Amino acid sequence: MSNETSILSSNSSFDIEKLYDDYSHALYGVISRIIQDEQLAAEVLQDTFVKIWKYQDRYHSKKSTLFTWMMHIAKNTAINAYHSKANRQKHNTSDISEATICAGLRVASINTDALDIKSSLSKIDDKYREIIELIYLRGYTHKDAAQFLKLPIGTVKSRIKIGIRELRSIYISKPVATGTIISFMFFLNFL
Amino acid sequence: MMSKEDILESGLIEQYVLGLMSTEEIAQLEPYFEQYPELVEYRLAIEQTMEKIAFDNAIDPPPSVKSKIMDEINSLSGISADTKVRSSKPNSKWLISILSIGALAAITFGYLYFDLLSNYHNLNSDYTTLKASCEESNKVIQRQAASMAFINDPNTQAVILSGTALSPNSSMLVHWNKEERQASLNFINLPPAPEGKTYQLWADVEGEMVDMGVLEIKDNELPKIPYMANATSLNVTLEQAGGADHPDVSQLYINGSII
Repeated sequence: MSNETSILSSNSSFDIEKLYDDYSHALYGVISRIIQDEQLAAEVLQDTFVKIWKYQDRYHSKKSTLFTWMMHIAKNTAINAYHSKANRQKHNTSDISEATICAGLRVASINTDALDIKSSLSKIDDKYREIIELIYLRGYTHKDAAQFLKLPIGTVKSRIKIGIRELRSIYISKPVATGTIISFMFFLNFL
Repeated sequence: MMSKEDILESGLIEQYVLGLMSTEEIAQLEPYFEQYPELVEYRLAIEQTMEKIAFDNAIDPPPSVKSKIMDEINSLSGISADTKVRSSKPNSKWLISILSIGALAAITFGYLYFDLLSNYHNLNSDYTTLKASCEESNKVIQRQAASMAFINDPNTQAVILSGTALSPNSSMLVHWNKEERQASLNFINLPPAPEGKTYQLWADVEGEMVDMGVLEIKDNELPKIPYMANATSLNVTLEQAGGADHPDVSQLYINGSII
């Protein structure tokens, strides 16, 4: 899916346009699940790519893949924008209590059925799916998720781990087997 | 210190990839990646899984966002909109590639041009030669056609003249046409004229030997002969070079009657 060597040239100069073409839709999928206002979500995506470009020197391939790094920027930018908006609403609306701001507001306002969650996620057990969905696709912290699902935080952490492992096994067993490609490359090697 | 098994079982790597760790927790975990390649391998597998989930759930952003990003980055980099970023490092590679292709194309076309020019000159020269040769052949054909037409004319008479005692093997074929008042020499067999001598043709007209010219016999070409009205015979004598006014009858090589 990602071809980082072509994007990061030898001196780590980013081809931001190619990054945008390759990854914007994957990042926007998460951003627009956190920020449901389309205009604000678009602004967040814009901020995200400007940050990616601005902070390109801070990316270290030893610490994560480029996509993980970009996703963290996207998610943090979206969560910050969400809180800023929530704070503006707090000042404008006198009868909203402090508790409904931040995580509380998010928990209350999110309708988990509103956005379509696709493919492999729907193939794993609901108890794992909902946690990965909340945390990975909607930007919840594990504390937010524990609060929302009324579960101990330890259970949330352990379900994250099991859920991701189940997803891995689903992806590994998909018909376009990586093994086939690797074997083919080995075959080419012998030519 | 934790063992790598502890780390794998703890779910810490999953939390790391999902961005759920504090700065301190990250700082504690990252050194383990340096130490255990298996942990890096596991982390990459988790990252790839999460990337797939993100791609499975991707949503296309509004189309206007891209140009806004490019504009903002261009203005931040302080270079005009059409240059930086869009034409930064990779594009300079493009430029080099395009220039290289251009130079290569110029060399190729230059070579082809001179090659074709040289071919053109060669062909043009060949054409000129062939054209000249063709024109020459056409003249020959025309001459032969005219000659054939003359020979095949019903009024044309073929006259064979024989060698005398001086040269019994000599002979001569003449075509004679009284209506057209034309004559042509079509075959002659004479020994080569000695140095300082030449063969001369005479017509007997009413008892007078009339000079019909010197016979200059060249390779592949028979001399033209004039028509002589009222000629009764043709005679070939060997004379001094340049010809004589009167024939030396003692040197008669060929003779024969026309009528």
